[in-house]
Amino acid sequence: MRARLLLLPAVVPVVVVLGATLALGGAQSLGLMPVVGEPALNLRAYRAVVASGDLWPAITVSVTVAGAATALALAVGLATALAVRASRVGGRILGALAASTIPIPHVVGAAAIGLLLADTGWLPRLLGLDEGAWPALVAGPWWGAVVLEYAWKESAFVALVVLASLAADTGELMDTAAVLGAGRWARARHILLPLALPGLVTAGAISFIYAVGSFEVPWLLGRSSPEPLSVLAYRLFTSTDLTVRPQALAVAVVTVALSAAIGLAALGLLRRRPVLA
Amino acid sequence: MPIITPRRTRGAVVLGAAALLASACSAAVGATSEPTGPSTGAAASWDQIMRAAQGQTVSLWMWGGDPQGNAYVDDVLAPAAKTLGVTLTRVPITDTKDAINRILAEKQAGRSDGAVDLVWVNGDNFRTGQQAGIWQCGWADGLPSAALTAPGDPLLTSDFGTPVDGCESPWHKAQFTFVYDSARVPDPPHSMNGLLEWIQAHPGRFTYPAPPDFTGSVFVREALYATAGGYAQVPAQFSQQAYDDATPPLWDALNAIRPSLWRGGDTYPKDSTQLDELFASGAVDFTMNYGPATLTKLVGDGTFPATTKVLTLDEGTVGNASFLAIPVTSGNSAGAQVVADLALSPAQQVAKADPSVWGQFTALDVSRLPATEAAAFAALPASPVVPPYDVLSRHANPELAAAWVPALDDGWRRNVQAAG
Amino acid sequence: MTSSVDLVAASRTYTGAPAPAVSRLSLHVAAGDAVAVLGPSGSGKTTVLRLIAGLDVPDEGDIRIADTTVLGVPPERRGIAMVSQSPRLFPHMSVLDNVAFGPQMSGVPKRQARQAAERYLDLVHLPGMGRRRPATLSGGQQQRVALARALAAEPAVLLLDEPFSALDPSLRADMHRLVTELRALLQPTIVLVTHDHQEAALLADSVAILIDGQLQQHVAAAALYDRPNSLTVSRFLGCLNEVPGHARAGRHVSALGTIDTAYPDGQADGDAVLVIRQEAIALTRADDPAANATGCIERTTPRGARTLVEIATTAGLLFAEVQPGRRYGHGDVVGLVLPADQCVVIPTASRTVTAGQVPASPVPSGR
Repeated sequence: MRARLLLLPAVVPVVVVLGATLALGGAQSLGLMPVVGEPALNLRAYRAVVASGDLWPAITVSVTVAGAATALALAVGLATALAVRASRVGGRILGALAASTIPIPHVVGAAAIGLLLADTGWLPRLLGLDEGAWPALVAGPWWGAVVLEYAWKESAFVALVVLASLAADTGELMDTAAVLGAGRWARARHILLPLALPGLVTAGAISFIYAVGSFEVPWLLGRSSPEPLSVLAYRLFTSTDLTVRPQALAVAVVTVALSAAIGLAALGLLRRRPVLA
Repeated sequence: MPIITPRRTRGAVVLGAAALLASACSAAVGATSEPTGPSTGAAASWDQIMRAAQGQTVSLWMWGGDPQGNAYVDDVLAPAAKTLGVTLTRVPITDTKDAINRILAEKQAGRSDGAVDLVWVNGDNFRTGQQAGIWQCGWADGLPSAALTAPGDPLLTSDFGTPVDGCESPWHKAQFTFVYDSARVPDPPHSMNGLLEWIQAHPGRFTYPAPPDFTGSVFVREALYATAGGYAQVPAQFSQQAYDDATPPLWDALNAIRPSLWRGGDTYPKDSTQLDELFASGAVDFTMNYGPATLTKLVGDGTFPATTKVLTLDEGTVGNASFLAIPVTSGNSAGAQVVADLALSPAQQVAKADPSVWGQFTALDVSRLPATEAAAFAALPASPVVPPYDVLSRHANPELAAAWVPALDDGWRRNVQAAG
Repeated sequence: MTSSVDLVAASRTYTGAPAPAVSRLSLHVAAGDAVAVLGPSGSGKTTVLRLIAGLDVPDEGDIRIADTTVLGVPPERRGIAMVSQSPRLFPHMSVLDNVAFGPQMSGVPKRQARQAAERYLDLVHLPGMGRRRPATLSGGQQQRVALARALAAEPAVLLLDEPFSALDPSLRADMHRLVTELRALLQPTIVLVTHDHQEAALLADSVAILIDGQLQQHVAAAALYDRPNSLTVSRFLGCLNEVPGHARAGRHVSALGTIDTAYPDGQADGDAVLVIRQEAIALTRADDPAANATGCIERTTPRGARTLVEIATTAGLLFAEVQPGRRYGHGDVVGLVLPADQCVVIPTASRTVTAGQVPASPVPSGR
């Protein structure tokens, strides 16, 4: 009880800010707070967004891009974490490198990736590739640069979370498994992966939700159509036609719902696993 | 072992998702839907306004993406305002819509001491503001400098079809211009239709920003005039009938050039900055902008090739004026009026027109100026790249009413982009 | 299933360490034998186990299992199992799957591996605990599971690294009984590392005393206290009495007088220290003709049921640990009986044993 009371200062602002924001956003999307016109409770904004044919492609693009980026980030992040654990000096350098990418804002990362990977960027020029020989990563059909930017930034985050969540005695458990006859792969599969899983699930969910909600990276590095959810919401929100503003909020509410679903799925995964001593 | 608890995970999940909403909702705090009519400026004498302005601090919200424009305001306009007793601070924004949204939120909250005192605005943003009643009106015609503009100048009385009504004061004029690299395009076209043909003859060497980007929107309107057979064939005021009549040939023409665009029309630059980057890197041979003021500097510092030239079209291009508007939430209206008057004064207009300062075309009628000030305009150094305004604005086409803009943007997305 | 283990002049120095953790160590463990590596903490005991397990590699020398070098063989292919001070159970697996881990890794199908695991859980007296999570078990139970897991891997060599030192004394006694029981049943080759010489003597056939990375003496467990070959070993084993003097013709001559020793043939002639354990000295009346010397009680300290008595003698303070029931007062004059077969003479020149030299000592017999 006392412990719960102590949590209040942390929980109350979160709940208040979050609740107010969600309530206001929901109210705006339901036509209760129009910028112009009379307030009226209706689902017009949601119907309009669905009818425009922009919503499903937006959800598809957002989920696909975020999924691909998160999968890549998890793989690279886990490998980084393992490398950090495996070697003492090299690991420390690798860990520092990974940590150093964390404070770089995504918008700066996106700009840097753009300079590096654009058709006329540093990399194709460095490789001396002609136009056409370089894949269209920036603004290309496969969202390559967007996925790479997220994967690069989030892999460092994944590595740090996994490193932090692996218990101090993981190395000893690995030794024990080796002595009991487990080879390199068996150790990774039976010991390391299960031990890293809570960290991976948590970091993966956060990374996925971030990628779904983030605007600047697909805006700078993505193609103009189809628009991901965040770009669609932003375009509607900044439209000079004030009557479409509820639609922007409707897209935002859909994005929140999608993120919440992913978060709950991650929670379910974590809960199914026993809480470890 | 430090397992991240479900409680913490849930917090992170909801926080991450709500971050998107947080910005969206700021505009709605304390929202009411009560429309506010345009407020009328006090019929105070200029002397009274000057006195009231003393000691006021005026926040000018303007798009911050142009270093020359920023430098002009900071180094030329603000010091001049100081001598009149007004402190001018510039607030850089990435999109004029940010200022509109801020004013909307403050107006809904009932603020009369808002953060915004003056906004650099025109076109659909002005119209949106009028629609929501966020502008102070009736003050601009009373500014002393307003007497030096041409009476009835269509660019100054109507802002993209929305009557100005003294709700904003002219700042400068702009002319839509195509820009090309003469080294790569030795024999450029001289009309919009000619340009559309050139695009098809040179696949991959041209593109335009995707509407609703401002520059991309203008390109679509230029194409509309060309496919309709001239601006006179398109009614300035928007109606569904006019839209249905005029747009089918436009979409046909834009779809016809699409496979010949950069990346086969599979994607478009997001804004004029990205288009400029493509042009600077040689990926395309044309760029375009509304107001070639920055061109002189871009060529001068080597960003654009020295062989960069402005393309003048035989039938002319659209032109407009941009303005300074005062929101109803401003608590420093007098100071803002003093700054708007100063900004339109011959001394400031001539300084701003210098290509090495900002290179913006004056909103004044030079023929109405006293001889010494008219001579100052005549003595302005010519830009090696940008032709003088009278050459550029020859056959200038009027802008369509602002109501056309979202309709065309939307139509482009459905008929051109979605077809890709 | 059981194999012999040999360390052949194995050395290991850790980067940055001033001295080698293990220096030119040679040790033979016969198949089915249990050898305790006994030493104070930091003496290199754990390194010996890590070298055998393959978790560490010697800088020089050889490690052999079943007379075949295992240098270059990874831990998982050495046919060993290890139990450490902390149980190191896999927290994400049930107790049963922990025990079944070894068989599963060697390719036994899951169901059979679990059946085998059940049997080993029975062996360590934890029947029916298989479905529990390791975290729900007590420390002693966890250590039993660790032992079952190691045994279930059916190792050719079982390595025990201070396996019971974290347990409280009564649990430790239980575990000692369990290990003895399991040895009788399964007869694995065991290398036990401990700092507790009683535990070493109790569980092992022979004891290898390791101090500062050097093997001091390898002796049959039953004779652990009989013939320390240096003062270092004698002190480590807790012997309190050292009387300097010299040995001649099987006798030791010192301020205490002339004492008959365990070396009647006179093999240790020259300057030498007489060493006798406090438990070996018997106290008697001062006028008892059997007394080798007399002294005056200086102090008594209770040691559990027994009493440690300090006696001032002509050769300085001597210590005697006496049976319960006898009481001595300060200043009492007593006679000291030093049985000849308990009197060990250590030549002064041999205080330190040079590395690599196999000390002359009773060679432990096989079981």
